[in-house]
Amino acid sequence: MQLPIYYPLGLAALLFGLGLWGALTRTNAVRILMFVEIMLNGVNLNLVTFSRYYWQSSPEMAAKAPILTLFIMTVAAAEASVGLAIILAMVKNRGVIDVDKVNLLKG
Amino acid sequence: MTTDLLMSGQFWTFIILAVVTLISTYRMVSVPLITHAALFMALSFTAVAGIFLLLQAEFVAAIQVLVYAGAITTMVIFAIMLSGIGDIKAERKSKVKVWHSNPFVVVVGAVFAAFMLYLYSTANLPKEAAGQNMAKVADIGMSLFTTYVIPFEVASILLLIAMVGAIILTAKEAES
Amino acid sequence: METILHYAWLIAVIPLTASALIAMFARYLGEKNAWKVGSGLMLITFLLTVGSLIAVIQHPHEAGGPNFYTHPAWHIHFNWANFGPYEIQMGLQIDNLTALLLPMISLVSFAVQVYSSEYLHGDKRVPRFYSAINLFTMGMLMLVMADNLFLLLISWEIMGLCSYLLIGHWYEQEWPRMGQIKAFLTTRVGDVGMMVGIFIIFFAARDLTWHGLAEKIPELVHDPATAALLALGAFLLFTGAMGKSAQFPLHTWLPDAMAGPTPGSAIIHAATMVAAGVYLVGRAFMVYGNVPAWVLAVIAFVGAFTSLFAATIATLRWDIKEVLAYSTISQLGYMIMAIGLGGWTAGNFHLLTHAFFKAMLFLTAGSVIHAHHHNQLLHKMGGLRKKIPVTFFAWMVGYLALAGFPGFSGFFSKDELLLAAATWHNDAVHGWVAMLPYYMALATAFLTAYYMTRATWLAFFGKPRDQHLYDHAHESPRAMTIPLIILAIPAALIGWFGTPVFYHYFHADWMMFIPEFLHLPGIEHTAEFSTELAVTITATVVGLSGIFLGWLLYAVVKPETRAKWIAAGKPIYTLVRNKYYVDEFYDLVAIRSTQLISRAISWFDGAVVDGMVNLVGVVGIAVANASAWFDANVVDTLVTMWADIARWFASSFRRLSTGYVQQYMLTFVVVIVASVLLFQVIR
Repeated sequence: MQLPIYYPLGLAALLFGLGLWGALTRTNAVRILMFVEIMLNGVNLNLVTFSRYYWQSSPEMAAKAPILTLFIMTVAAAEASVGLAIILAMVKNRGVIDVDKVNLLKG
Repeated sequence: MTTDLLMSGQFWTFIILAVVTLISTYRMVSVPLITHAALFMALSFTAVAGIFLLLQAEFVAAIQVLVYAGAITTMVIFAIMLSGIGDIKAERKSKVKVWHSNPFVVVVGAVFAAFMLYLYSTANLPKEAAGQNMAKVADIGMSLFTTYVIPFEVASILLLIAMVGAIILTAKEAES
Repeated sequence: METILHYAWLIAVIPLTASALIAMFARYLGEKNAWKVGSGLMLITFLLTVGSLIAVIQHPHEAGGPNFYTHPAWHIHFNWANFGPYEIQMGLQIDNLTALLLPMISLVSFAVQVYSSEYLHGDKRVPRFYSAINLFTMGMLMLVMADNLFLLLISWEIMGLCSYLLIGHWYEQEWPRMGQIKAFLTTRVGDVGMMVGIFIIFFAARDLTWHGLAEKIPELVHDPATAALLALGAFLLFTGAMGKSAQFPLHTWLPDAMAGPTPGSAIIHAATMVAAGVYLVGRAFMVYGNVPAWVLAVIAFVGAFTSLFAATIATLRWDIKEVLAYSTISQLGYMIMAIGLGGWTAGNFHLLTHAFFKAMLFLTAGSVIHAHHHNQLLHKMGGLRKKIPVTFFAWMVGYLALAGFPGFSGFFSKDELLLAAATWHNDAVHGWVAMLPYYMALATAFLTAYYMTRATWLAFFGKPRDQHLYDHAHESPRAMTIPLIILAIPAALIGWFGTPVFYHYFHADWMMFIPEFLHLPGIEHTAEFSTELAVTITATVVGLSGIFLGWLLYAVVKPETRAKWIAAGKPIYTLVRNKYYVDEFYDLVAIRSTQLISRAISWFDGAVVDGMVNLVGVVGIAVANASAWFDANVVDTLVTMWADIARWFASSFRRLSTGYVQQYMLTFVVVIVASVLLFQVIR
């Protein structure tokens, strides 16, 4: 493959950055969770890219990348389910979905 | 940039997928209606799955479509649906002003991007992807059940706990 | 015709499709159209089964060649489950016995479905009925096509479910509801035995397919221990047949199954499902024929006893459907006995003929009830032959066939069966006991002729006993009478395909069709022609004298005289009239004793166990009080001290937490980026 490694790496970084931006600026809790998923996706893309490009020089390391990706996805799924459940509980109990209206953690 | 690269199908496929990914992710930030944001998220995930395919990671691409584009999107849409339609309408009224976001965030993002670019430029990265094949699905399965069997089981327990936790959090309380 | 066998799997698929279609589009089809789907698809199935019967007849089974047990004409199978060294096969097959039964099942089902279109007119749950009937037919067709015991058990239970659904068709009423539960639970008793039997057979032979068993069992029985084990398995398998075929002592459910709609009773509780037990024993004859002889002797005696027992009860029933129900039990006992006696061909032949004429009799009874404004009681009928001529004609055909009148189908099959009883020999039974089944069968034949004559006379002849009902009686619509006529033809004539005695005189090949077609090598009954003739003549005489006695008692003797005679034999009359108190016995032994034990256990729980639990509770309260005092005065002081210290520290840090999640997130990112930068700089 001739595609220089910077292209997918750059895409992954941009994806991560966009996700971070969204997560920090938007206040809707569900949307924040969505951006967290986007960030994780960027990380996955990074991993897969390295796995592809290091396939020849160190195949054993490269073979581990898809497995790590798989575990990241598993954890992301668990996180999303629990996160959404927490958001639902928040909406049910407090009637708000915007995180800047919830400051129960305030000391 | 050589003309070879410009002529190759892979390059243009990558460019198209990357543009789709970035635009849909940006629209996730900017679109006022959260339901549309969820649909843009699904599009972004699907495009990334295409890039995975381009990188010859078929298994990861398949899981990406299953878990992200399928399960997580569905769950998010369900959460939107269950969290009440009033909030969604309220959000539609107030036009979202993307460029009025916290300047500190932009600074942090820029520092992060610059830092990443610095790292990539100094590191000795392989120029081209050689070799034909990534780990096959069979190999992944084999190592999951041999070398990584304990993490695998731990992940399953994690999922179980997450499921139970989600049910308990959302279930109606019997008393009170 | 050979090619039609390639599509034989459709025979099971089409009724299933019909059932599913009717169930899915129940609301759309409604009462008016459900029967069109059901009976239309059943007609196609019937044509397929006839085609496959012709194909099997053309498929040659040469004398001395491979028999149809091990080499069915059509067989498909696949590996269903692998248990390490053992495999369980699933498959369908059509051999001679199956091919002969398939058209019977689909024809009866077709007739019943056409008939029900009028009989159930105005009913609330017509599509439900049709769906269940079609599912049931699928179960029965699959049962006879199954190539192994396991698939047979599955079909067996599907039929049990459909039987339950159809008995409880009018579940708002008490009797159907109780009847369906009774039928389900009673057959379940037998089915448990059957399951264990299947396990034992699998344990011993490591195979459940018919051809596999036919090959393995004869070798396995050389070892006496395995043979004894297999005998136990075979006997337990037979208990399943006892439940399904309503053999004594598990017969009590069948009369109560009459609570369902009459057409359902006709197919399930007369023609097919109850015959499944007979079929099972016949089909598994490679087991029964090889295991120690006592198993077959037990089967023969259970069958013989049931047939006589049920026939005596039938003589005193007043409900027309109940007479037929006990008659069914009695005839099933006949078949079971025949197979137990080694009269394999005779038993299956009687199964076939009985299915036709008994299904028709039930439908006729339904027509009588329909004509008579839902009156089922014989002592309110009388003289109906003028009012409902077509029904009367059909009833007479069925009556003469069941009573064994010469020339009708029941006569020939009963003849074969009696011949098997007369020439019985079994290693486990000696002397006069060996002739017992024969005399019991003769007595049953006599009683059968008697009670059927009685029912016929009471319903159709004499003077009307209830003038009002008689005046309003009317012939049933054409949709009900045509199925009767369709079934009357085989009910009258099918017996002619197996008449060795007549064959001796006329030498027409078709007269030996059934004995040749259902020929099972190795268990021939070699009987002299003189014996055959003697048995035929005896059976004819016995049957005719039964008819004569019935006619004499109910047409000639006055009711007052009859009442006097009944008073003279009061104890016996009461015993038989109350069905030998079997139901009461079960009530006492199974139900009351269970309740008694439950009550005793409940008392023990309340008095002893609860007392102990309460004692523990009282002690626990005392201990808890003591520890509560300790907690409040000693432990709490220590805890409060630590809390005070923590609060003092916390008050200085609390300003950092603003409570805004995104602020935390931002801090997190900033710290990470900064620390990585720092790390780069230091390096």
